[in-house]
Amino acid sequence: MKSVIIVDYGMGNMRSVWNAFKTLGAQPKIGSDPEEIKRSDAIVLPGVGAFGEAMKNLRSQNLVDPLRNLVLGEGKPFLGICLGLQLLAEDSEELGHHSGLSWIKGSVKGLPQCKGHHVPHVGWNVVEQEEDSILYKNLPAQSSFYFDHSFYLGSETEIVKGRVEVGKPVVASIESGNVFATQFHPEKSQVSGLRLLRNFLNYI
Amino acid sequence: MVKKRIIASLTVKNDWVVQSIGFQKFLPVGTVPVCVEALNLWGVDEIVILDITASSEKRTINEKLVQRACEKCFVPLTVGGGIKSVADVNRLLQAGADKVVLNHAATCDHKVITELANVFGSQCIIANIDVRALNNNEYSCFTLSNTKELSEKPEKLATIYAEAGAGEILVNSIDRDGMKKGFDCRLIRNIVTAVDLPVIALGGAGSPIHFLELLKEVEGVSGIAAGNFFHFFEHSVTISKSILKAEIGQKVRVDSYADYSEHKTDKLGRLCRFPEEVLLNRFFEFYPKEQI
Repeated sequence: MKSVIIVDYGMGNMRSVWNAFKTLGAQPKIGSDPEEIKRSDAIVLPGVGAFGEAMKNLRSQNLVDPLRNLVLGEGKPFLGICLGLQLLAEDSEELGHHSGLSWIKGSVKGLPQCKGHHVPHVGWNVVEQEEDSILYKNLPAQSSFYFDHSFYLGSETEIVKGRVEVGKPVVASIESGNVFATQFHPEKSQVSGLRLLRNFLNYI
Repeated sequence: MVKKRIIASLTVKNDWVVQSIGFQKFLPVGTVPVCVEALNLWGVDEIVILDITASSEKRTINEKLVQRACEKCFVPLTVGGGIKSVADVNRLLQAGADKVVLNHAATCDHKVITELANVFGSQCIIANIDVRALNNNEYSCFTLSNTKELSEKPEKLATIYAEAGAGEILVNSIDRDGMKKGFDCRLIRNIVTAVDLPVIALGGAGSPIHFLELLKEVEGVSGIAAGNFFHFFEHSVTISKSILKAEIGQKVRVDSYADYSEHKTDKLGRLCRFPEEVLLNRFFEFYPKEQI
């Protein structure tokens, strides 16, 4: 049975992510102890809330370096969800200027105000998938996922594997080696979301 | 573009899901976890759980109940009932809810919306307005299960809530509740025009046709909620979505294997029987089991 650690750094509810992995037959745990993270087969970084606060919590719990070593150094599979995707960027302009984990290139910006598109972007939306994606394997092309965010990752590299239309196409998911991250909430996206998490578990 | 949401609203009384008729009569339906699990499997877009007696009994919706409901819920879950403080919301979010609904607390003091929105973000706070149509074609707002009338008109109240920082407005028509007559399109249109927020309509759905009617009348509505209809209409969610998809296409999310697009429906939105030759051809067709 694959063990998945859901990193608890005081941002948002971990319970739904836990429920989703449990339903898929994995062995999820919620915790923030670096030793426990090291013992798990994969790391999940969920998160709801403000960027600056999240980075502050990660630093005060001494999680920044262990996460970097385990994921980028040892190649442990990693899935970031929502804020967990944005934190991977170099910096963010959410409520001031904050530096991120800098695992990937790009910075986090506010969603543009466009006619016919509300900010925050909340609700079900179709994700345009790239063909070589691992997360979207065996998912129908027009699958929708549940989004809930006001900021987005500005990145235009080949690691972007999913885009969503919010007046202009923005990043919905990234994949770079063992690092995966989604802007939407797979744990709240019903069958499509569970299939995506199943694909992540199959990768581990 | 963001899809129009089909939302299931569970009316909870004494920790049981009940069928509510005009906010007066209540009939038991089942337990919350069972209802949530079924609705989730049927492919509904969001689930709202409203504890209707919490405020008048001076308590908050049972968080153990929310936690149990959450175990089989893979769509956004909104809960409401007696919520009035940051501590209440924190506890419910920890239990697994994604958003909360405010009603009575917001009518007492609008600042509570601002306070909660500052901590949890606007997207987390839904303001609920219960409206009753009066005899003179006017509308009036009520709270505490239709017992206390408010001085503000619905549009005014919605604007106040929007300015206070609410993320969505849930409009419930008291006189349509459980009547199966269709939504109050005029009321919903008034609110949609008054505020620049996503508006959810609740109260009155009795057939899939009513969803379509509201979407045609009020294009700006963001979510359509129903309670009783989903419990008592067979395969309600999937059939409603199929009917909507035939009319408005990609604006509605259909992810289920079950697809009723080939079926004809009568004027009440019920499925018609296939002609005999179609049924004969279907005899040996193979349907694979849905795999996640």
